[in-house]
Amino acid sequence: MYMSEVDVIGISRSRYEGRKEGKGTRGVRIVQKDQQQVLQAHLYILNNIDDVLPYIDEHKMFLKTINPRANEKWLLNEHNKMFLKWFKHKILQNGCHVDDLKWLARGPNFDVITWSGYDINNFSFYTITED
Amino acid sequence: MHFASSKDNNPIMATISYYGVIEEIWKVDYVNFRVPIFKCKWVYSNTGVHVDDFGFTLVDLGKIGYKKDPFIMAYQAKQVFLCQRSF
Repeated sequence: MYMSEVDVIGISRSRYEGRKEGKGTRGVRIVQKDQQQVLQAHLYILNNIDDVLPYIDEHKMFLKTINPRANEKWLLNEHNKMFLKWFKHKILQNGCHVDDLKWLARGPNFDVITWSGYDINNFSFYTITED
Repeated sequence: MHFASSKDNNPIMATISYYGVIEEIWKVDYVNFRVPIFKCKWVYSNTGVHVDDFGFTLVDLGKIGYKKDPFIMAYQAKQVFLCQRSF
């Protein structure tokens, strides 16, 4: 039966947490990371959140419309370069009803919580130095 | 999206497995929620991954690639067990 093996864990604080969140198991630290690297992670995260996908499509369409002769690779590079700014403006200036999208649009904290061990999807992961 | 080379202007969508090791585990903080990601060293698929005649996947951790794309969503990761290959 559908999801018959899954334990009820209650209501999660956010739709991006809960089932998909997992749990740190050892070596927690808060580390100030290089801003460029955090923004790269941010862009990666946005590209992998279902609710953001319509905005990604819209931005790519927008780029295509204003650059009709550009090829796919150029468009993808341009998208990667411009999307964070465009998304922030789109969500925060034009209004949006979804709270989590607003938090995403504001961008992440440059202080990152890091773990050396992490449990998710019934796997226990460790960083290479812990392994 | 996959590009055959940096000059490939016709990328294709495909599902490919990447092998690598986790260097850092991050929980990116968006104040109201946090998103776990892994920062990885990936083995370059073209030269570092090879399936042998017995069906074992050989992964050469010395052939590191995709250095510009180190991140993966934690929930997308699957675990494999590596053991040293004897020659």
